[in-house]
Amino acid sequence: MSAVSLSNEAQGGSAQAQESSDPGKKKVQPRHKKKFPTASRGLLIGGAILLLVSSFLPWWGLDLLAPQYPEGLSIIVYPDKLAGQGEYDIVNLNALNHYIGMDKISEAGFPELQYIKYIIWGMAALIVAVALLGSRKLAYIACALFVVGAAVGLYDMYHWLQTFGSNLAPDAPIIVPPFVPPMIGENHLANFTTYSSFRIGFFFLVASAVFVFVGTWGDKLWARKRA
Amino acid sequence: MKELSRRSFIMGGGTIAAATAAGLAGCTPAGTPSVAAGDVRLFVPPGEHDEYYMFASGGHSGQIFVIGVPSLRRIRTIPVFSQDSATGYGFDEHTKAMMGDFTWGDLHHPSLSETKGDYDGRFLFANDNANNRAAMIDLTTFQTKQIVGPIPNLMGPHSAVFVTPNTEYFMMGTRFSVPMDGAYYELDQYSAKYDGVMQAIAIDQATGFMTPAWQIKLPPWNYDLSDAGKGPSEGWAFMSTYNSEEASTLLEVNASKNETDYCMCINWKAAEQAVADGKYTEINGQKVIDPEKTEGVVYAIPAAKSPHGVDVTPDGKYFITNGKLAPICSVFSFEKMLKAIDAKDYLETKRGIPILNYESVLEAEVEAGLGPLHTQFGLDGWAYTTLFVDSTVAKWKIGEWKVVDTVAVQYSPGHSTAAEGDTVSPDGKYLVALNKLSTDRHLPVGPSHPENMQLVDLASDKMAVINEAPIDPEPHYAQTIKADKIKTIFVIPKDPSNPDSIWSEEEARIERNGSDVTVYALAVRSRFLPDVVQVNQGDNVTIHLTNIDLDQDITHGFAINLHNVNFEVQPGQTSTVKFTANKAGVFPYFCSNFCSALHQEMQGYLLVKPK
Repeated sequence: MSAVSLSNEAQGGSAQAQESSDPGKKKVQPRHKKKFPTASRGLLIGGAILLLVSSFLPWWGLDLLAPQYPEGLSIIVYPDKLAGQGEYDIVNLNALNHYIGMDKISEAGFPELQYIKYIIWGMAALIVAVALLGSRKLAYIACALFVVGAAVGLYDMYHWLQTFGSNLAPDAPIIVPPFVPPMIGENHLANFTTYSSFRIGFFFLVASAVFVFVGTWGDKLWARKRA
Repeated sequence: MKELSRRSFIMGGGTIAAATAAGLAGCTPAGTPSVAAGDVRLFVPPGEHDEYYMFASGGHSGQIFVIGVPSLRRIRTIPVFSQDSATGYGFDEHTKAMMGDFTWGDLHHPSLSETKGDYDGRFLFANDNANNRAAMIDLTTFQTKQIVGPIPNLMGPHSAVFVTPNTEYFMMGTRFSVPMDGAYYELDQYSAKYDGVMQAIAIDQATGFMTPAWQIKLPPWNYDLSDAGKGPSEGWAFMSTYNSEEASTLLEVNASKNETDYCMCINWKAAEQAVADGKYTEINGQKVIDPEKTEGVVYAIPAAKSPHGVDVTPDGKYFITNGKLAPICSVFSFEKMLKAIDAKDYLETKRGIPILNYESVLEAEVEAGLGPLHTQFGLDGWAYTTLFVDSTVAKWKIGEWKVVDTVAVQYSPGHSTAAEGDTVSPDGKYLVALNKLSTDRHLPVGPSHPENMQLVDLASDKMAVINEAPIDPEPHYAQTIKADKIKTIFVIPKDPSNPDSIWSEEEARIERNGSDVTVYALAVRSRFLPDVVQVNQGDNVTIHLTNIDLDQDITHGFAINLHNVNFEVQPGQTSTVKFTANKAGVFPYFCSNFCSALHQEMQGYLLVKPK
């Protein structure tokens, strides 16, 4: 890694030297076509770190309150696992959900939990590579992956919420009309009030995206402003 | 002996007779109840928690009552020596085996585990005065975890020392003397062949589990109560005794003749050392130290007439016998006791036990009132003595030795329990008088009335009764511990390594091996799996039931109609029941502990095919 970064800096340094020593010989590139300035690279590295950190944090959660559960139950979704506030929250939620015929919620039921973390790490590595190599092409790919990832991710979430809320066993002791729990906000079902929201890891994801996008296009915007 | 105390014994005796006669005639002692209506000091609003747990012995109910202080609300009853169908205690195989051949016990003295003489909230120990046993309750679950005994050579271990300051031992002394080797001797051999015993039970610090360690053979006197030394007196234990007359019939009269009985002083560290040095005899598998052969373990001090409680002060400098039939508390100095032993200042030696000179060891006599039974402690050296005959609690100060305040309680207190009142650092604040009679205090329920607990405010200069609640028979002693010292768990930790447990519906099954049928069953809101168990008449049926609802308070019951089977499984618990399917027919089984909205549907069928 250090060897790569050293050679990059050396290349950047020599390009500048050429520009200053022999302006006539080489056509001066517009500033934004050039490789990323240090600030952009810093933003990209920052974005990669935020992404890496987010892979260890919860992304989304559902809190459930009922008269019998004054302290509440929770499902907290991490990129690689499900958790609760209490050790047995998910066991207990499943025990309750079976009354309305909902499928059991378990980590095994969400295959994406097996690989999301590695996708995130791969993305982080790609962004680091962008920063080090300074390749705009790679940067555009990274940005595109962000957009695609966000769209797929949100769709995936909606899909699961819809699937769990709609595929209720017809022989359940308590029949409720199919429902789609909201991704954000409050919902009511029987004695439960649920509150769903994005959690801190998601905001790290958003921040990461902002850093990477600004890292990719920031120097052009600054250049335009200056001009 | 002081002339004063001699006089007061006699006067006291006369007054007691008069007071008792008055009590029997149906008069109640004068004195208006001092309850301040709506007193804010006792008000615990709905949903709020009490400041203290009080663990009261349930006496011959064989249970422990858990009571909140100051509200006096009963929070829980823990079955210990008695069957309890509500929890299935004594019905499932594990607890049945723990209870052995007995379905009841006489639970006299609860004793919280201690670290450096202060309650640590880990375990609670208790004695069975009826069947020579001791029990341990784990305070993470409030369940009885172990019963040891009947321990050989003992009879009626009423006199619980409570625990030693770091819970090394739980000790208890015998109320009754019987021939130690279990042989048969007529009562005319009482003095020659009957023995009292002090039992030390070693405690495993990690689990609280008890192992009988050693015994001290004692004269055939009745050992009543006891307390462990602490601070400077750590390593010693003190035990009151009556019937030094060695009477074996009509004790009421024949054991009340001597002007003094004894306070036994036992150097338990020396006893421990004696056992390590091999200075013991093995009797019925127990290591027995005989003071006639091993010196330096047991001493005795004459104490006023059939003393009842013996209590060590929080600083460990003094131990106090409560006169019962004498109107005084005798305060002995531990330091003076050591000096008397060093100087061999003995009146005589009885059965190898040096009897120390009362005057040499006495620090003070507190003229407490009529029928002093027990003393508890508060802040700043305050002491509180219950007076059974006077029906009061008297307040006096260590070092000043004079009663400065009394409060009438209704009626006739036995023990009392002050907030952490027998530890090295009492809290003051509250004392609960455990009154033996309630007479007219509550709605009548027939000829026998409940016992009566009364909360006494200790925070003000003048004591006052500020709360009151009836209680089932029969708290003797109780201990009151700051609530935040107890850390309970809310679910029994899931243990898949338990071969009797199952944790998923797929594992539910019935296995047959000849005429032995084993059912691996689970309970989960709101079903049993399997919910049909078919067996042949005469089959031996074992049912292992696991509650896989790992949710606090979701306890399931398991009852089979007409089979005398009923037990509970707490969240995460696996329990086992065994029975022979003797009756052919169809028998529903059902959840007997309301668990969920569809609790009523939680049932199955046991089908017993006729031969």
